[in-house]
Amino acid sequence: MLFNTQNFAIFFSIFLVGYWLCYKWKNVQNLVLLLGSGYFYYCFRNSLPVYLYTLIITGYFSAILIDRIEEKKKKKLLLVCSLILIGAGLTYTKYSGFLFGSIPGLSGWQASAMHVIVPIGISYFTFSSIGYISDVYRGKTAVERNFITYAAYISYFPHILSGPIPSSATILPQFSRSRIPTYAEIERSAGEIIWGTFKKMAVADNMVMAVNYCFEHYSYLNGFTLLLGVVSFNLYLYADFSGYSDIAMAISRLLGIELTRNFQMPFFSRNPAEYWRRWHTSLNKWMTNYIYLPMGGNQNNKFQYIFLILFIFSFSGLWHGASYNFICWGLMNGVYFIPYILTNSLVRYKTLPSPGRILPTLKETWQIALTFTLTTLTRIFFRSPDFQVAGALFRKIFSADLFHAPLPIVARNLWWCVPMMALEWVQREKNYFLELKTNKVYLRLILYAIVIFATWQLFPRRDLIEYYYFKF
Amino acid sequence: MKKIFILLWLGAAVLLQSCSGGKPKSAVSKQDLAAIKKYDEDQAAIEKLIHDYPLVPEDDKIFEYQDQNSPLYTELKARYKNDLVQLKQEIEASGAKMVMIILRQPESVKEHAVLNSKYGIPYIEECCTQLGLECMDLSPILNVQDAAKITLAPKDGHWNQKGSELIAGLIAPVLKKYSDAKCKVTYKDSERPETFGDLAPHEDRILDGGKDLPYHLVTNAQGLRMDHDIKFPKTKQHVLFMGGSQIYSPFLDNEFIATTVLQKQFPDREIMNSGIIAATLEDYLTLWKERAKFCEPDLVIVQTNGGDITDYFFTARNHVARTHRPYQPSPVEENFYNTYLKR
Repeated sequence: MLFNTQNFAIFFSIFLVGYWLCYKWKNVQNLVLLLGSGYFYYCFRNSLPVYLYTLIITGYFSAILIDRIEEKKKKKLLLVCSLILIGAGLTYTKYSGFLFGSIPGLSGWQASAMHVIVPIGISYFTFSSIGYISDVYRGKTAVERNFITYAAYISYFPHILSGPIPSSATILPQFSRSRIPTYAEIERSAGEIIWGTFKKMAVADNMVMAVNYCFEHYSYLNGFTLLLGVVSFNLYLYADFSGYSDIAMAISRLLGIELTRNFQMPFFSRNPAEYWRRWHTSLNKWMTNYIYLPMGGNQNNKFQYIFLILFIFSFSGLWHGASYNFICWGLMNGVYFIPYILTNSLVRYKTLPSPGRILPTLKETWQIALTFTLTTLTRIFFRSPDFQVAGALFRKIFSADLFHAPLPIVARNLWWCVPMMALEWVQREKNYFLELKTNKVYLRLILYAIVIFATWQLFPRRDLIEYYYFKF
Repeated sequence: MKKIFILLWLGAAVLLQSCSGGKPKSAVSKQDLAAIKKYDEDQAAIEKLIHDYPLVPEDDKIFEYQDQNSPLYTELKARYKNDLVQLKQEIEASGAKMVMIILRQPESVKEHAVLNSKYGIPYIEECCTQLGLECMDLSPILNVQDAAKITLAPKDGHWNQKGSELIAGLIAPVLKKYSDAKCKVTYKDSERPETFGDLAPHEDRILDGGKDLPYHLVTNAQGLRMDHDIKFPKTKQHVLFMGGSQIYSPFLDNEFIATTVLQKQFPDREIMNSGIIAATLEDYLTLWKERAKFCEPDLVIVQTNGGDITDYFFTARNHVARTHRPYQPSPVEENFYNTYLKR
């Protein structure tokens, strides 16, 4: 039941009416949410509701116990035990192949060898649970004693499959009040759903074939074609994942819960640090709050700071998947920070480039192009199935093979994202393209209608394509 | 001002897209109207038949019901033979040479179609002998190969690049043998249809058939799976390949399919690929009559296999036949459907 399907539209319409009708009773709303989320999750291939609810029960009681215990040492011990217990499922299902695969005698214990599936969304709901328990331990969030409320928060269907990973301090309290959106919020959500659907169906779904083609047939495609394939993948991934996140945020707002914005125009960033504040923001915030800051952050000396950055990015790579490819992807992103750190030039920009102007300055153009190129190259590791493929792609791209004419169909593929990028540039100071400040209702409606019509005209008529981040 | 700019920009983009997909309107004649009406009626009848008889028997299912001597299989064989006779007559009437090749996926990747070949191939060979048609069975050679090396298994059972090269190598002697074959018929440009094959002309896109095996499909202006257009009057011998997916070769780029490999080996010939996915002999016959004969082939290589006989079952026809006409069940088919398949 993907967000962009008729089935979801029917499910959500019925669900929403029921949910809104009981807006006066927050506990009933949470119960409706819990049931609806359970049904939504159950409808997916590779869903494992038993595991999800076991994790919820574990997290619920762990947090209550941690909250009750006064003694610091015992509290810490309990926290560590809880985190191990909660993280065990994720570690085993996702990482046992990586950990045991190369050790003789232990390979039979891999999840795949034991026919254990990786439950869909496991990385997300495990991280949500870990975040909550850590926040309770550190006193940043009050323990939730109402089981229904807590279960509704963890299994909340707008974020269970691909995030945004919630921050318990800001999201959980929203579950403890009655919720009904205002008219303005409903319209804002509609605009976000329309734009998110456009990005997924009119851009990502059109680009995906050529991307897959490049990575499948890298052995006989030339360097320039492959480079365009990698660029296409980066843009496709943005359209796919940010489209999903926009829709998730919007449907959550309709349910009266404001989620963390996951993407804030990342391709207009001027350095890697800015890029990572704008790309998959909720995961980066999670890592900042629970790993980076507890380990000292940028208060360390330069050497420790660099080490910490490399560690965080390697961890981020491992979160995405248990392979050396993802570790390399993370490390490569971390390495980009080193020259900036050593030269003290890691500027923390507060606004996007050239606010109020149509075009960026030459300096900004260079900075944006450099950041985009650097982050795009890391995607070779991210998308390649193994080291061999990634190595072959790098060799072809950084060789004389680059100076060949690209395959026209791969070059043409980039046109799909030109309107999206141009429109987002125009609206870069907003959260998303259709966030319009005009008071003229007719103008807003016309724009919505045009985007809906464009999506209908452009989306490829073939089997539905799952969101890329479902695999994590 | 900025909003108006955005609005105009989007509007123009959508308008352009709509215009590029649109077709010029032209006056519709009474004959056209009658044809449209007939087509609509046929579509409605097919939809009803598919609704009433949705199940298509898998390859060997027919033999699970009764053996190869069952009235059902006998009926399907008769249909196959009837179309083969007609196809031979049609092709030979043009002066072209017709050769049959039996080509199917190796048994190891299509284990559920073993009986299909066991009973079908001898029958096809028998028909060819009776009709005086040359028939070359490639399956004994392909069956002994390692399927992992010549097909896209386990994702799909069709040929990979190596498989295509192997097949091209097996077919090459036929091309050499009939290098002097020549058709007697020529057509005026005004007589020729827009396309000679069933694919849309000027296709240039990446497909994957939902199997995560992306491939680059290119068709020429005449709807054939090849990178260049065919020119008339012809200056080379024309070799036309007719067949199903084994000839079309899904999941391979144009440059790796068997017909392109043959084209490179025989630059003095024009090798044309009119393969259609999920087709059987009846489709080749209608394609020949409607389109393919107009490319003036001198040598026609028709690919077939045991599955082409069972594909004559009426529910399979209603689902994929290129004629788009409704296929009513015969009493024997209806009996099989109700007493066995539906259960």
